[in-house]
Amino acid sequence: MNPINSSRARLLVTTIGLVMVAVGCSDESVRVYQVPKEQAHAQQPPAATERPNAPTAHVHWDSLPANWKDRPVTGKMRAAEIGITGSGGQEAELVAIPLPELAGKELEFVNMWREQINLTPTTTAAIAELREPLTIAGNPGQLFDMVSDKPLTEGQPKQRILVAMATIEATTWFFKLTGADELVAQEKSNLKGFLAKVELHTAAHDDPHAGLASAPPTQSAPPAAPAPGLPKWTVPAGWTAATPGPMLLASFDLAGGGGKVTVSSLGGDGGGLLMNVNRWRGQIGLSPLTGDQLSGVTKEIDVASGKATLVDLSNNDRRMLILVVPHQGQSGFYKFLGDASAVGKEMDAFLQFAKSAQY
Amino acid sequence: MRHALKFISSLRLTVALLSLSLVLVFAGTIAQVEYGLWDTQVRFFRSLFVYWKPAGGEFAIPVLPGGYLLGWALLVNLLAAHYVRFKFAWSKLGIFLTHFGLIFLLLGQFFTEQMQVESSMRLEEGQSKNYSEAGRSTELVFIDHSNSEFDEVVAIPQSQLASGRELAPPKLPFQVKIEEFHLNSRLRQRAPMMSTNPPAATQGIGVQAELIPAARATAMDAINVPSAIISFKGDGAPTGTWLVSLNLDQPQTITVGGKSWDTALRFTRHYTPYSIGLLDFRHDKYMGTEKAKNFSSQVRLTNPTTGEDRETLIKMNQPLRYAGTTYFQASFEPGRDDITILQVVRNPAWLTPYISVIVIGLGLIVQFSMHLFKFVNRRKSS
Repeated sequence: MNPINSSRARLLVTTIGLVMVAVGCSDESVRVYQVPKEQAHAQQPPAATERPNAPTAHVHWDSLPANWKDRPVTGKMRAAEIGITGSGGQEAELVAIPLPELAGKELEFVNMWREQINLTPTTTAAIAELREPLTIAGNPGQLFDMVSDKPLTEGQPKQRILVAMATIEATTWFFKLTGADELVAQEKSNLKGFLAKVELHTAAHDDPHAGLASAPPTQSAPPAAPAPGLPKWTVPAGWTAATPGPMLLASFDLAGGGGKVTVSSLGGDGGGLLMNVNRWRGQIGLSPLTGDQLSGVTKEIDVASGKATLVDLSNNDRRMLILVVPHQGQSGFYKFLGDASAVGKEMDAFLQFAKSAQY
Repeated sequence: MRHALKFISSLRLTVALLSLSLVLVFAGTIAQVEYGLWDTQVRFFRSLFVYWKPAGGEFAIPVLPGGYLLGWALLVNLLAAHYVRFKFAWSKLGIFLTHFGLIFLLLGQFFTEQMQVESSMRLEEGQSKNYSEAGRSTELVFIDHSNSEFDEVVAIPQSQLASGRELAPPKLPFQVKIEEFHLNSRLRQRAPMMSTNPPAATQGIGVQAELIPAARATAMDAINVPSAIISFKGDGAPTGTWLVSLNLDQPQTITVGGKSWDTALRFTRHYTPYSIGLLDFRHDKYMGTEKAKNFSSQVRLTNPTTGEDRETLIKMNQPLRYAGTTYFQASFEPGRDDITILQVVRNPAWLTPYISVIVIGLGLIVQFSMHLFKFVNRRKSS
C-alpha cells in the first residue's frame, strides 16, 4: 500500500463531505418569470365529441302533483328541475339529468349517492336487493331508494334519495329526488306516476309532440338513398324517420308506435358481443349472461357483407332484436326495441331492412 | 485520518455497501405495495436515509441508508481505493477503464437525477403551446396580467405548501397563509339540501364546493389531486378563505390594493422560448381491432428567437430533439382523435450511460484479452 499523504486525504474527505451536504440541502424555491400572454384556443372540438344532450335535452309532462312546482333549470347538466314542498315547510328537489349511455355502471352511481348521505358503499351482489323496477317514459327502468342512518345536519330530519334511471337508446336518464326523509318517502308514488307518463327528448324540436311514438306520422318514409355517409338501404313501408340521438346513424319509428329501430356503427367489434349483449339485457331489465350462455340468445345469419349475428332478447312484453353486421373493420348495430307483439310482426321487415344496407 | 481513509477505501466497506444496496432494493420493492412506485422512489432511493415513524410517534427514525447515501458511499469508496492504491501500470489498464466507467456511470446517474426534467404536453389540433406540464408536481401561481406585453407569474412549488405555513413570495404585496393543504382530495359541488360539510372556503368558487381529503394515491396510473385553503394578509388583502385545487379548471381573481392577480393550483409548468403547435394527430389501429398500430403527431415548431418555423413529424420511436429537449409521442386521449400527448424530457446528462457502458465494456475487453494472451503464451512456452 502506498503511504497516505495526510493533507491530501483531508482535502479528499472535506470535498466529499461538502458535495454530500450540498446534495442533502437541495430544495425547490419560489420562481418568478414572465411569459407571453396566452391566446385563447379558438378551435372547437369536433361535433362528434361534444357532450351530448345537455344543452337541448328536456322533459315534457302533462301535469304535476299539486305540491310540485316546475323551476327554471339551474345546472348545465340538468334537463328539468322541480321543487317539492311538504307539510310543515319540508322541501325536496327532483332533477332530471341525461348522460351518454351509462348502463352497467349502477354500482358506481349508487355508491356515489350513498356517500352523499354518509352511507357505506354497497356491493354488486347487494345492489340487486336495492333495485326496484319501474317504468320511465314507457321504458323499463330501475329505482334506488336510500335513506341516511341519522340526520346529516343537527336538528334537521334524516335525508332520503330516490333515483330512477333508464337507458333509452344511447342516453341514460337519471331522475334524482332528494330531501327530507318523510317527504321524499311520501312522494315516491307520485314520482313513479310522473315517470311513467313523462316524455323525454335528447334534442331540440319545434313541436313538442312531433316524432313521438304516440303522435301520428308527420312525414313519409325517407327516400331509398339516405344522407351522405350512411349506408344505402331500403326502408320498409310504414316506418317513419326520426331525429337520431347522439351516437346514432339513423332512427325509425314504427307505425302505431309499437317500437323503434335505431342504427349505429362502432369501430372493431364494438367492445365484444358478450359485453354488448349484457348491456342490452340490462336495458330491458334482464340479468347478465356468461359466455357459455351466449349461444342461447344469438344466431348467425347471412348478409351481403358476410355473417351477421342476431341477438333476440325478451322480458315480459318487451322484446329487443339486435343485428350486428361486421363491415370494413366496423360493426353496424341494427337495434329494434318495442312491444313483443309489434317486434314479432315486424321482425322480417327489420331483417330485410338490415340486409338491404350497402356500405 | 489514516485509519479513516483505510476504512473508507476497504473492500469490506464495498461488500457491506453492496449488501445494504440489496437490502434497500428488497425493502423498496416491498414498500411499493404501501406507498406506490413514485413515493417509494422518493423515500427509499432519492434520499440519504429511509425513515420509519412508529405508530403514534412524533419523530421518524432513520432505519436504512437511502439510495443517495449508498450511491455516494460507493463512489467515495471506489475513489478512495484508487487514491490509496493507485499505481499506474499498463497491465491494469482494463481495471482502470472499468472503474472509470463505473465512476462516470454513478456520477452521470446522479446528475440525471438532479437535472432531468420530465413533463408532458397535451395539444389539441390547432393548438400551440410554449410550455409543458409536470404530471406529478403542482405549483400555486399568482399571475399578474397588468402588463400588455407579457404575464408575470409567481409560482410557489408544492413542496412549500403545508398546513399552517405562512409565505411571503417575492413580487407580491401580500402574504399567503396556507390554512389547509391536502396532498390528495376530491371536490364535490355543494347541493344545499344535501350538504354535510361546511363550504370549502368563504370566498370565490370554494363557497360552492365541499373539499373531501383523500388518501394518497399509490397506483401507477393514479395521481394525487392536491387542494389547499388559503388566506391573504397585508394592506388591502382580501378577507376570508379561498379554495385552490388541481380539480378547478379556471383560475380565480383576487384584488389587492386595486391590482388583480389570477390564482390557481396547477401542474408545474416548464416554459420554453419556442412553441410547438399540433397540426394533425394520427392514431392508426390494426384493422378490425382497437389495438394501437401507430401514433404520430405532425407539429409546427416556431422559435421567434432564431426565426425558425418548420413542420416535423413526431412518432413512436422517432422523437423530436430540439434545444436539449426531447419530445416523445407518448399517448392520446381515448375517444379524441384530435388530441396528442407528448412526453417532454430535458436531460443534459443523457449521454453519460452510453459513454459509461462503452468505457466499461472496453475495460473488460482489455482486461480479459490481456489474461487470454498471457494464458495462451504460457501454454505455448510450456
